[in-house]
Amino acid sequence: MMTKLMTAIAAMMIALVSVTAAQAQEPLRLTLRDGVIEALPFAIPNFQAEVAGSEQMAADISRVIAEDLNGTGLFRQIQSSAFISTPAGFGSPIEFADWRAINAQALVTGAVAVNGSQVTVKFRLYDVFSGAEMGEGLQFAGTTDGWRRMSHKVADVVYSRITGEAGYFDSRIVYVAETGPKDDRAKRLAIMDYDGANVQYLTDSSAIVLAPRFSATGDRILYTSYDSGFPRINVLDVANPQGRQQLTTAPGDMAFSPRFSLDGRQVIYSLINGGNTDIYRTDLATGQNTRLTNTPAIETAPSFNPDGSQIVFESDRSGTQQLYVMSANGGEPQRISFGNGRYGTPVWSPRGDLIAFTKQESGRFHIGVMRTDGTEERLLTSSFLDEGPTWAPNGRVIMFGRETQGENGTTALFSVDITGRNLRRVSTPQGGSDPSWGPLQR
Amino acid sequence: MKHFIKAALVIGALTLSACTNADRFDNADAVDLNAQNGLNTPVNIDQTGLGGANDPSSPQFFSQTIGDRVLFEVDTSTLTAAGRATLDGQAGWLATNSDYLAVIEGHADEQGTREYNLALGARRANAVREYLVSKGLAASRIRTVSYGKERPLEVCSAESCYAQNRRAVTIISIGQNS
Amino acid sequence: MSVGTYLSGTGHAALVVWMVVGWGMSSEPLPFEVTEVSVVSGADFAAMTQGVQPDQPPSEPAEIEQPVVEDVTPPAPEVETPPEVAEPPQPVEPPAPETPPEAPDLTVPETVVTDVAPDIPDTPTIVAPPPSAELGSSLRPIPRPATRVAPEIVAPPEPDATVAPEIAQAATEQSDAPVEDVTDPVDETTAPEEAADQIVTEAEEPAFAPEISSRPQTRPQRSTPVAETPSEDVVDPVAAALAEAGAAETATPEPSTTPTAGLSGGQLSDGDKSGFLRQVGGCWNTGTLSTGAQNTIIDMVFDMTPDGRPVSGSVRLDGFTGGSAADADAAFQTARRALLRCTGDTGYDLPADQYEQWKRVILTVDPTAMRQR
Repeated sequence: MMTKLMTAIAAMMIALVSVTAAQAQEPLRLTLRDGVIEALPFAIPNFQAEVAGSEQMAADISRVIAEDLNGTGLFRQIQSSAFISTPAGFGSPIEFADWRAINAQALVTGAVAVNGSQVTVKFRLYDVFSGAEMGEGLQFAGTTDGWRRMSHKVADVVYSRITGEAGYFDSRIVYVAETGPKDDRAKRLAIMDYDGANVQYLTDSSAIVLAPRFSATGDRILYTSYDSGFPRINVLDVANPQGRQQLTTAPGDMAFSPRFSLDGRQVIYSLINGGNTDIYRTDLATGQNTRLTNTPAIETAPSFNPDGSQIVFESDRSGTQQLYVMSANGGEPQRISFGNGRYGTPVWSPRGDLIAFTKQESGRFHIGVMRTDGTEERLLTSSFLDEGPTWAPNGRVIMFGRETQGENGTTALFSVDITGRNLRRVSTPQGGSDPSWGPLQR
Repeated sequence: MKHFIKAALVIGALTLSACTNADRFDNADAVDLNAQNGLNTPVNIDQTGLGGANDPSSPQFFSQTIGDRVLFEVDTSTLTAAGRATLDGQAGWLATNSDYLAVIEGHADEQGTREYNLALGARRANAVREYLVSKGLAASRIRTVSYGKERPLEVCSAESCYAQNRRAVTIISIGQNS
Repeated sequence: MSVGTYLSGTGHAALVVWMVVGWGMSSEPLPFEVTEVSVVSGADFAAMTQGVQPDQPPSEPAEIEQPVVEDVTPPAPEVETPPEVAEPPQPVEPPAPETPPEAPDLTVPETVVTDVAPDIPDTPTIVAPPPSAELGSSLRPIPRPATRVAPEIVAPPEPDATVAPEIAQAATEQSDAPVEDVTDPVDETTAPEEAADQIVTEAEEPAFAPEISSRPQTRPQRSTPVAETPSEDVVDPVAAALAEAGAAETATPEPSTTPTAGLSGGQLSDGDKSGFLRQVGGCWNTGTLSTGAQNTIIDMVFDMTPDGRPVSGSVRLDGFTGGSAADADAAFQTARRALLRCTGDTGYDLPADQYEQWKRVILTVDPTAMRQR
């Protein structure tokens, strides 16, 4: 206590002195514009096992936190072999100099206690060069089989405190798991943690399934299935995937490309009638159907903006696939893509500021982002076939499907930062396509 | 080899049962037959060895002699002259064999996004359907389905394969309510 | 043994260890000293000095009394008191009751699913993508896709150049580590990391890529066109000073006047200013900024000691435009970290005889241009 008081007094005195000094001479005014973009080095000594028998869990949790942070490309773990010292215990004072010396800019310490099926994880985050803790220590408690989720939650807090925006680690992906040769692909819905762990299958491969989409709360999934022999939209409850239902759409031959509105009460989708594809909206409560586009062109891949007032979609009404934005009630759309090539599968970011899309140009496929008015287009990837972007809940990362060329072509999920950095393959047990990123879990 | 035997068995079974057992025919997934064809290339299938194909009222005659598919140019659903000729044959066969229903499958090659290709496949299937209807077939006998790029026939990533994949295939079956 | 003695002992021991081991380790990769020719750019210098030397004698932390408060509730360790004596009235968090805050309901969703997943390798869940040779066919020199962006292009290290100790260790001791750990473990403490002057994404053929509908980037609105302020490289020093003063005038709430040229030893030269900015910029990592913070321009005020070190307790946020308060705080934390980290062991390279000119600095930190890199 005494120390803190003295520190405060000293600080005030210094502040006084500096104010006085400032009065004597105008401060130097400079503008910093050029910096660096690099991974921030961080250290995470293995979390301490507070209870005997917690060692493995402590090591596993530390490892997953480190993998989460490393995987963003924004952070770079310093291997423990470079450490000069490690904290004696979770509460021990931090020798900041030791961490500065190895250029660790952030330090995560923690402790794990396993008691039966319960596990408690505590951690603290330090800004090494300021010599101060960033935020307060936190503690998570749960069951041991939820240890990965707890690790992700710790990593989310660390990420959020350093970057100033929400994390995305404690989230799930639903996607289409693909097996078999190219001309006889077996497809089934699978759900997994964002990092590819804990894969579970939601459907069997008896019918082709396409493009699953999470509801905003992550508890329901819309997808296209051929289980009736024709593409129709099904909805399933994640907690009870057996109880899936076909969505009653407006009357039509085929329905596909569905998405929930933010409140989960409405579904927008494409309906094919007489060979013509248009966009419709169905209110799940009332069953009321609204036709939103009405042209002989192909209108598909609709996606709501975050407040539900607008819809971005693709249409070939101009002769090639391009992106358009219209009111959620339909009406005259405004074209937003004007570059060379074809634009499809637009998805509005959860932050509302960007639209991700698939672009085809000169025989290559790209995932790109643009502002919602079509400006500042930026292509993030390039390959034989990339498509179907989906946004991380914080709007910072995009996941998509990539297929390789040729008769033995395979599919896989990839993720990339919206800056175009940090392209990574997401590990899945088999091939994968059409990912949909769910919300941060509660 | 395995595929070949399987294909041979399937074709054999179809041949035997085609005219006698409608249910059986339905179950013996005609799509599968096409897929097998694609895997083995027609060279492996000796057409003269399959008696059914010479029977003008058999589904084999329809798919092999008349031709069950028409091909399309890149990103179009316009019928080509060759396509129209094939469809004229199909229309004639369906007019004769009036207890058959048809499902037109529309397909696209892999050079496109999934949703767009699904819509494009639907356009192609519909182009075929409209042509057949224009030749006097009852619209109620013909349904369409699009597989987009989900069921390629040829698997290479070259125009030679793409050309085969941009197709509409007429699948015939004995109608349940005919 | 009292706690103080113990801590002091530990601290001194750490000092000794650090001097013997730490110091030796960080200076052992000699190539720096070797490559240190007479001409060293500011960025190189910054990269060289960053992190090599802590700006505090390492014994200091030990001398701080740690109020060891054993909370009854979850064994909550007390808040670290920062080693800085001059810690400002910065919110010294009261050792807040550390009840498990917002312990989320971690009941794992007991999803009943049809199939059981095949064994999933639970280690490297994300693997590095296969190397892409997308840009390889170009005849013209193109920026290399580097994972680091810096104001100056740093060539990849020579094959025989030193590798950070971390690499060797990582390679031997962490053989089970995910692949990507081995691929980019270059540590700035030894070599300036390979850097491009812009990010080259997989999709881009830089410099001659067909630029599509790229309109002028939008900047946060300010009352004066700060964006048009001439950069520090501007030739005319008076114009630069005026422009800067004008910009700062609107950026900060306090009224200020245009500095009169020639007072107290004359104006700081442009070279000195840009050198300082380059040094700070070498540590200013905008990569970890949130997208919101990347659009937030902040003013950061701090005092300098005569030997060119920022007084760490004096660094404060003094206004921002373009983002939320949280964005501004994240931007400020990042800028402060850069300032403190790049001080180096000799302080910033500013002319001592003009100390009065830079005793106090208002630094406008504008990441909007970095956003486009």
